[in-house]
Amino acid sequence: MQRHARLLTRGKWAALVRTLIAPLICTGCVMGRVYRDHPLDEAKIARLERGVTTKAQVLELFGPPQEIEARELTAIGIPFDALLSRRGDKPPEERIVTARWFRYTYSRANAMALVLLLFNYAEFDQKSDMLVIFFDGDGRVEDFAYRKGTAELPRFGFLSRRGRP
Amino acid sequence: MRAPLRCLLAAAWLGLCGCTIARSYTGTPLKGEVERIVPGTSTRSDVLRELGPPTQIFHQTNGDAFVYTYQRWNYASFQLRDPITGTTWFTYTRRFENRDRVLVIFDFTGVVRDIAWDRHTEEMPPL
Repeated sequence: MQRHARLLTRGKWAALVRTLIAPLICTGCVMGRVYRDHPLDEAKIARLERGVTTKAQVLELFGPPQEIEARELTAIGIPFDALLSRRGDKPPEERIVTARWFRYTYSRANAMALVLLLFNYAEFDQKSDMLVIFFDGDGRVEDFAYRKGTAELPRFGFLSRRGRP
Repeated sequence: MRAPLRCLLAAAWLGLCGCTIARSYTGTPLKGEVERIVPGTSTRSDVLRELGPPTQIFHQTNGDAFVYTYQRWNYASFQLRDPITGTTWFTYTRRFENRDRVLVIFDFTGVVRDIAWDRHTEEMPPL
């Protein structure tokens, strides 16, 4: 030990420390973005009126929804095949008309990683804009709810995140 | 200190250990005050207004159920490796996966029958 202590002067110790710390600050950075489906138009959402807007108008405004609750048909024992003129045909509009609710979503995800030599940090955050529309028995909008979750997506991971990481 | 010795030390240091921390967030933190939803009084409209669109909707024989979920996981690992052979001597990993959830059950007329919630994402240790 004494021999080693003699060999390493103060300058050499500093060099050693620099050598050991250098790998910690040699960094690589990874960023990724995922976009799924199309953003929902808030101007169109503002045109939805409870008890007024029909299912056909909703379909015209927003197109086909990502999710449809269509279980009622099977729940009351009506087989889908009977609604189709030929097996394998595109389902008729009645099948959509009987749906009780539509869900429209637009999802985004941000990924970020710091790749240091001795330490790695990775973060993945996925949020969605979601519009759920409920219909009454006459096929008119009974209720709807919208939340713009993507607005809460931090752009640069923990650097721009509000609250505790 | 001679350069080859320094390089050797650096290589050994690099090969010896590594640490990884990862975070994943799925969905948006639950908004609204769950306490404002009163079973027997609040309607589906009240729930949608207060909590927004649900993550999942279940159709039950005696009414619907809304589920709201916000999920997070925290992961950390520490590894010790042989700098020459690359053999991993020791690995320690820890992963916490917690959720905030709200379940709202409606009766046939769309009035809240039951509500339950738990919030666990804030309890997760940072490391």
